[in-house]
Amino acid sequence: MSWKIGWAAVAVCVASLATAGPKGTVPRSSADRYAAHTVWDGVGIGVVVLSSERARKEFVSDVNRCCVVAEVALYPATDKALNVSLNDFVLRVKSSETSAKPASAGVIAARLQKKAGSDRDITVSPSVGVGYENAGYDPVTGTRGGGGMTRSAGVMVGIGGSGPKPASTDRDRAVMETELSEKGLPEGAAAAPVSGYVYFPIARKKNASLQLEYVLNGNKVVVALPQ
Amino acid sequence: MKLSADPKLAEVYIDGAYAGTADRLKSIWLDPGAYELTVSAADRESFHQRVYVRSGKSLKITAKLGSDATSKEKL
Repeated sequence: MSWKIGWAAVAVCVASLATAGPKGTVPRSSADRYAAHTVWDGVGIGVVVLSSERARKEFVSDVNRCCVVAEVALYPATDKALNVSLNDFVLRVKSSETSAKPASAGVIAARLQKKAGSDRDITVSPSVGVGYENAGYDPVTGTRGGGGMTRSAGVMVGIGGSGPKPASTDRDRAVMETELSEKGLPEGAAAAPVSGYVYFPIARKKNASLQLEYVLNGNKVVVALPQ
Repeated sequence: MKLSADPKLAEVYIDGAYAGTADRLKSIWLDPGAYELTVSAADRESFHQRVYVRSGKSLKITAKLGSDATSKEKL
Protein backbone atom coordinates (compact mmCIF):
# COMPACT_ATOMS: atom_id res chain seq x y z
CA MET A 1 0.00 0.00 0.00
CA SER A 2 2.76 2.39 0.95
CA TRP A 3 4.54 1.92 -2.38
CA LYS A 4 1.33 2.98 -4.12
CA ILE A 5 1.24 6.18 -2.09
CA GLY A 6 4.90 6.72 -2.92
CA TRP A 7 4.32 6.33 -6.65
CA ALA A 8 1.29 8.64 -6.44
CA ALA A 9 3.42 11.31 -4.75
CA VAL A 10 6.09 10.95 -7.46
CA ALA A 11 3.43 11.20 -10.17
CA VAL A 12 2.02 14.39 -8.60
CA CYS A 13 5.50 15.90 -8.40
CA VAL A 14 6.26 15.04 -12.04
CA ALA A 15 2.90 16.42 -13.14
CA SER A 16 3.42 19.68 -11.27
CA LEU A 17 6.89 20.05 -12.77
CA ALA A 18 5.55 19.34 -16.23
CA THR A 19 2.84 21.97 -15.96
CA ALA A 20 5.03 24.61 -14.32
CA GLY A 21 6.14 27.33 -16.70
CA PRO A 22 9.62 28.73 -17.07
CA LYS A 23 11.06 30.72 -14.24
CA GLY A 24 13.04 33.92 -14.63
CA THR A 25 15.11 34.99 -17.60
CA VAL A 26 18.28 33.59 -19.10
CA PRO A 27 21.30 35.02 -17.27
CA ARG A 28 23.88 36.69 -19.44
CA SER A 29 27.38 35.24 -19.51
CA SER A 30 28.60 37.43 -16.65
CA ALA A 31 27.43 40.21 -14.34
CA ASP A 32 29.38 42.85 -16.26
CA ARG A 33 27.11 42.28 -19.24
CA TYR A 34 24.45 44.30 -17.40
CA ALA A 35 24.26 48.09 -17.35
CA ALA A 36 25.04 48.14 -13.63
CA HIS A 37 27.10 45.48 -11.93
CA THR A 38 29.29 44.73 -8.98
CA VAL A 39 30.95 41.82 -7.21
CA TRP A 40 30.71 41.35 -3.46
CA ASP A 41 32.00 38.42 -1.45
CA GLY A 42 32.47 36.46 -4.65
CA VAL A 43 28.86 37.02 -5.70
CA GLY A 44 28.31 38.86 -8.97
CA ILE A 45 25.30 41.16 -9.24
CA GLY A 46 24.08 42.55 -12.54
CA VAL A 47 21.14 44.91 -12.85
CA VAL A 48 19.36 46.78 -15.60
CA VAL A 49 16.24 48.90 -15.17
CA LEU A 50 13.83 48.35 -18.01
CA SER A 51 12.89 51.42 -20.00
CA SER A 52 9.17 51.96 -20.58
CA GLU A 53 9.63 50.87 -24.16
CA ARG A 54 11.42 47.65 -23.27
CA ALA A 55 8.91 46.85 -20.53
CA ARG A 56 6.13 47.23 -23.06
CA LYS A 57 7.88 44.81 -25.41
CA GLU A 58 8.80 42.26 -22.76
CA PHE A 59 5.44 42.08 -21.01
CA VAL A 60 1.88 41.59 -22.10
CA SER A 61 0.89 43.03 -18.71
CA ASP A 62 1.01 46.84 -18.51
CA VAL A 63 3.76 46.94 -15.90
CA ASN A 64 4.55 50.55 -16.73
CA ARG A 65 1.29 51.51 -15.06
CA CYS A 66 2.34 50.33 -11.64
CA CYS A 67 6.00 49.89 -11.17
CA VAL A 68 9.63 50.10 -12.08
CA VAL A 69 10.91 46.78 -13.39
CA ALA A 70 14.54 45.74 -12.97
CA GLU A 71 16.17 42.67 -14.43
CA VAL A 72 18.45 41.29 -11.75
CA ALA A 73 21.07 38.59 -12.24
CA LEU A 74 22.96 36.91 -9.44
CA TYR A 75 26.12 34.85 -9.93
CA PRO A 76 26.84 32.76 -6.80
CA ALA A 77 30.38 32.29 -5.57
CA THR A 78 32.06 29.06 -6.59
CA ASP A 79 30.98 26.10 -4.46
CA LYS A 80 28.70 28.27 -2.35
CA ALA A 81 24.97 28.32 -2.99
CA LEU A 82 23.20 31.62 -2.61
CA ASN A 83 19.83 32.01 -0.95
CA VAL A 84 17.87 34.37 -3.16
CA SER A 85 15.06 36.31 -1.49
CA LEU A 86 13.14 39.29 -2.82
CA ASN A 87 13.09 40.67 0.71
CA ASP A 88 16.79 41.42 0.38
CA PHE A 89 16.22 44.05 -2.32
CA VAL A 90 15.30 47.71 -2.04
CA LEU A 91 15.07 50.24 -4.86
CA ARG A 92 15.82 53.76 -3.70
CA VAL A 93 15.52 57.11 -5.43
CA LYS A 94 18.74 58.94 -4.68
CA SER A 95 18.53 62.22 -2.81
CA SER A 96 15.00 61.49 -1.68
CA GLU A 97 13.15 59.48 0.92
CA THR A 98 11.46 57.36 -1.72
CA SER A 99 12.23 53.67 -1.67
CA ALA A 100 10.36 50.45 -2.30
CA LYS A 101 10.72 46.76 -1.66
CA PRO A 102 9.72 44.36 -4.43
CA ALA A 103 6.10 43.38 -4.71
CA SER A 104 4.97 39.87 -5.53
CA ALA A 105 3.46 38.93 -8.87
CA GLY A 106 0.08 38.49 -7.20
CA VAL A 107 0.11 41.97 -5.70
CA ILE A 108 1.20 43.61 -8.97
CA ALA A 109 -1.41 41.70 -10.98
CA ALA A 110 -4.16 42.72 -8.55
CA ARG A 111 -3.02 46.33 -8.75
CA LEU A 112 -3.04 46.28 -12.56
CA GLN A 113 -6.49 44.70 -12.59
CA LYS A 114 -7.80 47.38 -10.25
CA LYS A 115 -6.32 50.14 -12.38
CA ALA A 116 -7.74 48.64 -15.55
CA GLY A 117 -11.14 48.29 -13.94
CA SER A 118 -11.19 51.91 -12.82
CA ASP A 119 -10.36 53.21 -16.30
CA ARG A 120 -13.28 54.94 -17.92
CA ASP A 121 -13.76 54.80 -21.63
CA ILE A 122 -14.60 58.35 -22.58
CA THR A 123 -15.34 59.09 -26.20
CA VAL A 124 -15.85 62.55 -27.53
CA SER A 125 -17.38 62.99 -30.95
CA PRO A 126 -18.71 66.01 -32.76
CA SER A 127 -22.40 66.00 -33.51
CA VAL A 128 -24.43 67.98 -35.98
CA GLY A 129 -28.20 68.14 -35.92
CA VAL A 130 -30.51 69.21 -38.71
CA GLY A 131 -34.21 69.77 -38.17
CA TYR A 132 -37.22 71.56 -39.53
CA GLU A 133 -38.92 74.27 -37.52
CA ASN A 134 -42.66 74.51 -37.93
CA ALA A 135 -44.16 77.77 -38.94
CA GLY A 136 -44.99 80.02 -36.02
CA TYR A 137 -47.71 82.67 -35.61
CA ASP A 138 -46.52 86.26 -35.90
CA PRO A 139 -48.49 88.35 -33.36
CA VAL A 140 -47.62 91.62 -35.10
CA THR A 141 -48.73 90.81 -38.62
CA GLY A 142 -51.18 88.09 -37.66
CA THR A 143 -49.77 85.77 -40.24
CA ARG A 144 -47.95 82.46 -40.09
CA GLY A 145 -44.28 82.36 -40.80
CA GLY A 146 -42.79 80.06 -43.34
CA GLY A 147 -40.83 77.85 -40.98
CA GLY A 148 -37.51 76.53 -42.14
CA MET A 149 -34.49 74.40 -41.57
CA THR A 150 -32.53 74.62 -38.33
CA ARG A 151 -29.03 73.41 -37.69
CA SER A 152 -27.19 72.76 -34.44
CA ALA A 153 -23.69 71.64 -33.72
CA GLY A 154 -22.20 70.26 -30.53
CA VAL A 155 -20.10 67.57 -28.96
CA MET A 156 -21.28 64.21 -27.70
CA VAL A 157 -19.49 62.67 -24.74
CA GLY A 158 -19.94 58.98 -24.12
CA ILE A 159 -18.78 57.27 -20.94
CA GLY A 160 -18.37 53.58 -20.55
CA GLY A 161 -18.89 50.83 -23.01
CA SER A 162 -20.17 47.33 -23.28
CA GLY A 163 -18.10 44.38 -22.14
CA PRO A 164 -15.17 44.17 -19.76
CA LYS A 165 -12.12 46.34 -20.27
CA PRO A 166 -8.78 44.70 -21.09
CA ALA A 167 -6.99 43.36 -18.00
CA SER A 168 -9.99 43.97 -15.76
CA THR A 169 -11.35 40.46 -15.40
CA ASP A 170 -10.27 37.83 -12.88
CA ARG A 171 -8.95 35.66 -15.70
CA ASP A 172 -6.82 38.55 -16.93
CA ARG A 173 -5.47 38.99 -13.41
CA ALA A 174 -4.56 35.31 -13.33
CA VAL A 175 -2.79 35.60 -16.71
CA MET A 176 -0.86 38.66 -15.54
CA GLU A 177 0.11 36.93 -12.31
CA THR A 178 1.32 33.91 -14.28
CA GLU A 179 3.39 36.05 -16.61
CA LEU A 180 4.91 38.18 -13.86
CA SER A 181 5.63 35.11 -11.74
CA GLU A 182 7.18 33.11 -14.57
CA LYS A 183 9.41 36.00 -15.62
CA GLY A 184 10.26 36.97 -12.05
CA LEU A 185 13.57 36.37 -10.30
CA PRO A 186 13.46 32.82 -8.89
CA GLU A 187 13.71 32.70 -5.12
CA GLY A 188 15.42 30.01 -3.07
CA ALA A 189 18.82 28.35 -3.08
CA ALA A 190 20.85 28.99 -6.23
CA ALA A 191 24.12 27.24 -7.00
CA ALA A 192 24.19 28.50 -10.58
CA PRO A 193 23.54 31.98 -12.03
CA VAL A 194 19.92 33.08 -11.89
CA SER A 195 18.16 36.09 -13.31
CA GLY A 196 14.69 37.48 -13.63
CA TYR A 197 12.56 40.55 -13.26
CA VAL A 198 11.92 42.28 -9.95
CA TYR A 199 8.89 44.57 -9.66
CA PHE A 200 9.14 47.69 -7.51
CA PRO A 201 5.83 49.48 -6.90
CA ILE A 202 7.23 52.94 -7.30
CA ALA A 203 6.33 55.73 -9.71
CA ARG A 204 8.66 56.07 -12.65
CA LYS A 205 10.15 59.56 -12.78
CA LYS A 206 12.21 61.04 -15.54
CA ASN A 207 15.82 61.85 -14.70
CA ALA A 208 15.52 60.27 -11.26
CA SER A 209 18.71 58.59 -10.10
CA LEU A 210 18.02 55.12 -8.79
CA GLN A 211 20.07 52.70 -6.79
CA LEU A 212 19.49 49.08 -5.92
CA GLU A 213 20.34 47.93 -2.44
CA TYR A 214 20.90 44.25 -1.82
CA VAL A 215 21.51 42.67 1.57
CA LEU A 216 24.13 39.98 1.05
CA ASN A 217 25.45 38.00 4.01
CA GLY A 218 24.37 40.78 6.33
CA ASN A 219 26.05 43.52 4.31
CA LYS A 220 24.27 46.14 2.27
CA VAL A 221 25.54 46.21 -1.30
CA VAL A 222 24.60 49.32 -3.27
CA VAL A 223 24.46 49.29 -7.05
CA ALA A 224 23.98 52.68 -8.71
CA LEU A 225 21.73 52.38 -11.72
CA PRO A 226 22.42 54.46 -14.80
CA GLN A 227 19.52 56.55 -16.10
CA MET B 1 -3.31 36.32 -31.65
CA LYS B 2 -2.10 37.28 -35.11
CA LEU B 3 0.48 34.88 -36.39
CA SER B 4 2.68 35.06 -39.41
CA ALA B 5 5.24 32.39 -40.12
CA ASP B 6 7.92 31.59 -42.61
CA PRO B 7 7.43 29.08 -44.18
CA LYS B 8 3.71 29.66 -44.52
CA LEU B 9 2.93 25.95 -44.46
CA ALA B 10 4.58 25.46 -41.07
CA GLU B 11 2.58 23.46 -38.56
CA VAL B 12 1.28 25.28 -35.53
CA TYR B 13 0.85 23.63 -32.14
CA ILE B 14 -0.75 25.24 -29.10
CA ASP B 15 0.04 23.53 -25.80
CA GLY B 16 1.22 20.55 -27.82
CA ALA B 17 -2.04 20.18 -29.74
CA TYR B 18 -2.02 20.57 -33.51
CA ALA B 19 -3.91 23.70 -34.54
CA GLY B 20 -3.30 23.77 -38.29
CA THR B 21 -0.90 25.29 -40.75
CA ALA B 22 0.25 28.86 -40.36
CA ASP B 23 -1.28 30.05 -43.62
CA ARG B 24 -4.73 29.08 -42.33
CA LEU B 25 -4.19 30.51 -38.85
CA LYS B 26 -3.50 34.17 -39.45
CA SER B 27 -5.83 35.09 -36.59
CA ILE B 28 -6.25 32.76 -33.64
CA TRP B 29 -8.84 33.45 -30.98
CA LEU B 30 -7.78 32.17 -27.57
CA ASP B 31 -9.26 32.43 -24.11
CA PRO B 32 -7.18 34.42 -21.63
CA GLY B 33 -4.32 32.27 -20.37
CA ALA B 34 -0.73 31.22 -20.88
CA TYR B 35 0.06 28.96 -23.83
CA GLU B 36 3.05 27.22 -25.34
CA LEU B 37 3.20 28.08 -29.01
CA THR B 38 5.27 25.86 -31.30
CA VAL B 39 5.71 26.37 -35.01
CA SER B 40 7.59 23.68 -36.88
CA ALA B 41 8.37 22.60 -40.41
CA ALA B 42 10.44 19.85 -41.92
CA ASP B 43 14.16 20.57 -42.10
CA ARG B 44 13.73 23.81 -40.20
CA GLU B 45 14.45 24.75 -36.63
CA SER B 46 11.27 24.82 -34.56
CA PHE B 47 10.02 28.05 -33.06
CA HIS B 48 8.88 27.97 -29.44
CA GLN B 49 7.35 30.78 -27.48
CA ARG B 50 5.31 31.11 -24.33
CA VAL B 51 2.47 33.50 -24.99
CA TYR B 52 0.22 35.26 -22.52
CA VAL B 53 -3.24 36.12 -23.76
CA ARG B 54 -5.40 38.79 -22.15
CA SER B 55 -8.93 39.71 -23.03
CA GLY B 56 -9.29 42.64 -25.38
CA LYS B 57 -5.63 42.65 -26.40
CA SER B 58 -4.17 41.32 -29.60
CA LEU B 59 -0.78 39.74 -29.79
CA LYS B 60 1.29 39.79 -32.96
CA ILE B 61 3.83 37.05 -33.40
CA THR B 62 6.21 36.54 -36.28
CA ALA B 63 7.86 33.15 -36.41
CA LYS B 64 10.76 32.76 -38.79
CA LEU B 65 11.97 29.22 -38.79
CA GLY B 66 15.51 28.35 -39.57
CA SER B 67 18.99 28.57 -38.15
CA ASP B 68 18.49 32.29 -37.70
CA ALA B 69 15.14 31.95 -35.91
CA THR B 70 13.94 35.28 -34.73
CA SER B 71 10.76 36.36 -33.11
CA LYS B 72 9.01 39.61 -32.57
CA GLU B 73 6.20 40.11 -30.15
CA LYS B 74 4.18 43.25 -30.15
CA LEU B 75 1.06 44.32 -28.32
